[in-house]
Amino acid sequence: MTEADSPGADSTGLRPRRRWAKGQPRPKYLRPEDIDQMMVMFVALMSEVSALRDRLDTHEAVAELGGTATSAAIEAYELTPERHLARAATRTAMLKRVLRAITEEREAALEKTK
Amino acid sequence: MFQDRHAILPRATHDEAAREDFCASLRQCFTTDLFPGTREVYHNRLLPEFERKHGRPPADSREAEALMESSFYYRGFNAVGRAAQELVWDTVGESIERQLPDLNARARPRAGALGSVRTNPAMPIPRYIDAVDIHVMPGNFHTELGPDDVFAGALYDRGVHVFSFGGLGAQNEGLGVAMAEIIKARFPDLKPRRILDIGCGPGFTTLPWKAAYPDAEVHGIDIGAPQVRYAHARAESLGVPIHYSQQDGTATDFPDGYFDIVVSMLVTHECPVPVIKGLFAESHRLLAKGGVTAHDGGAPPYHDPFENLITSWFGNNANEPFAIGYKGLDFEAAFTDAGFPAANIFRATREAVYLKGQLPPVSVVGAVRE
Repeated sequence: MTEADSPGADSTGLRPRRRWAKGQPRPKYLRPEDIDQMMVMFVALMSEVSALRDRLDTHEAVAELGGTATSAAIEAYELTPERHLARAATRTAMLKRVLRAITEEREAALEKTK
Repeated sequence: MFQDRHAILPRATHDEAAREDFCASLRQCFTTDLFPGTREVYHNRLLPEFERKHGRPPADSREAEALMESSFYYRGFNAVGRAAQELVWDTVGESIERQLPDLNARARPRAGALGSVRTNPAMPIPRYIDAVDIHVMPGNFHTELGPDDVFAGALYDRGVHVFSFGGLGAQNEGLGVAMAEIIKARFPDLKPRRILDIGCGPGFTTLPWKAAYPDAEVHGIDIGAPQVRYAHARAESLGVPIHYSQQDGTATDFPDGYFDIVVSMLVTHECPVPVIKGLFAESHRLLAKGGVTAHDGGAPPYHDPFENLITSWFGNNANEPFAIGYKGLDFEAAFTDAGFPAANIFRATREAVYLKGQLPPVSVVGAVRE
């Protein structure tokens, strides 16, 4: 592909910027056997997403109590058993969505026996 | 739900607690959803396909494993389970390391303690402990990060609660309670003067024995100094008098006939067979006449090769290399070799506690000193 191959100008009279770099092809670093380490990293990232979501929920909980979600207020917040269970349910639902590619085989197997 | 906040329990920041809660949810998903799902994939799809092709079911667990490995469900389940196993210790470990100087200071023995603690820096750490980080818990049970260190004890106390998603109870007491109930029910007239918990770890298996037998003097030993330091501080903060010491359960410094009950919980399956036999021989030496010893007692192999495979998950995926020898050990022979009469050997079962419903009841094996 050359500059001339880029899509034409739109109503602004500007061509969209090119998003790929000319020159050497992108190096290939990873090997097929690296996929297991990638999975460990992927699960750790899920933990970070979940922790962020819990922190957002604490913002909401502090606000519901009439407070301001400062760092200190977030650290001082005492999680209630009700909210703890609600968060667990939210996490379980997230896991079901994220792990669907794994669990769909099981659902298909169950379907087969019906 | 929440772990009881005894004085020595590590405190988590908001985000540390949130990451630990994720680990608990992930472990629960793995244990109660993905794990039983392997049975559905096997029985509903893979086994019928295999039988159509070969006219017979898989002959052994190796063939069952090859069949399971053709399934992305199984491969993905294993990858998620292993990642969860690693993530628990790393997540809890980061939180404990941050506050370790404070924890170590708070754990130091104080005058006027209810119980006691002894460490033994000269004690050699056996190779089977030093060479393998059981449960893929880095540092295993014994590694010390400095003087007066409690890291490994705190890691196991808090980590087990996360790992079992609270299923062992608010004080991780479930195993000790179950084992003490077995002994109480089977030996209602036993009035123990002294009780020993071998491989006590952070002490959550020890305290239920004091609750079950309030008049007994209760001791806990572990090969790891950080375990007994933490266990002492934990018991003190919970107001329970226990005597902890760093010792190898196969060669303790207690006198002959010192105890009326000698037990271990979740220990034997982590030990090579010669060590299990050594524990039984030492139990025999330590028991007074009429005293009782009890330990987790293996599992007969399943007829179903798939169940053999799936119930070996921790052995195959979580650094439990000795579990296979334990599973196949002739416990009756091991007890008679240790000096117990064959007629005095007993068997019982307890629920798999937090794995109840996922795994069959755990076998308990014990013997009475003649």
